Amino acid sequence: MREPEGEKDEFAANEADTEPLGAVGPVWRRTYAANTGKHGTTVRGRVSREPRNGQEALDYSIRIKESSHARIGIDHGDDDAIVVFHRHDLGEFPERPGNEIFHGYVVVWSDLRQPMKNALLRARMVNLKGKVL
Amino acid sequence: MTVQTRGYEPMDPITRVQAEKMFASGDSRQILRAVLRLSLHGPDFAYAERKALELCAHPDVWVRRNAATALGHVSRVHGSVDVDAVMHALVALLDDPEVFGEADDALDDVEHYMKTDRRRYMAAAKAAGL
Repeated sequence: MREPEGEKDEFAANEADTEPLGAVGPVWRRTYAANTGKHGTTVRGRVSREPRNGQEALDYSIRIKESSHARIGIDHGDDDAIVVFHRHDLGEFPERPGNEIFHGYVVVWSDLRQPMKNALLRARMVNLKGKVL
Repeated sequence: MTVQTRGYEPMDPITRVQAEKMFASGDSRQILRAVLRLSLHGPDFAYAERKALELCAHPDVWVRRNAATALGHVSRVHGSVDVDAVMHALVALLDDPEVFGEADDALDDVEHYMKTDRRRYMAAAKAAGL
């Protein structure tokens, strides 16, 4: 019998809640989904470009807020670009922990919202001026 | 340590015809991808916004979550949304415990990019007894 959607979600939420803010947490591999169409290699207008090493940046990313699954990380192979990730799905095996799919885009420090800056500062990933440590 | 790998999942642009087929499929996974791809690339962002607003009431939790995310994408990428409609929809989703996080994120985006404030809409919702 198929598991009700609500129960699956509760399991996933509990998994995520065990990870404190500012911690990379258990290094399971979240899946990074490239935005091959929109987020290209260069910035075009308001559309931020895609990170060059999205999976690696995602692996060592941190949650922005306790209440959400959005994450932020650094792409060290891309001139220390700051990358924001949004979760899209749990993939084909939602019963497995860490089986999440994200996409991301590069944002400069000055364009980050304050909770994003706070998350990076708490994790000692940047200094107060936004320089990646 | 648990390491799971899966390939990239491209979020390519999508035509409106393709999107409508995906919406008509009834498959939640297709529906959520269609609305995300529309909201990320347009070019008809008004259509993406309308579909996302409709899907905020979808019975599948993942569709509702991604509908909220899509509204944040449209405001960030396109820089123009029907602020009242989007804010009312997202504020209403804050009361959905399974979608709260995505709605909160999307509200942050809309507030940031559309220069608005959720408190006004939350007060209006409270006054209306919603």
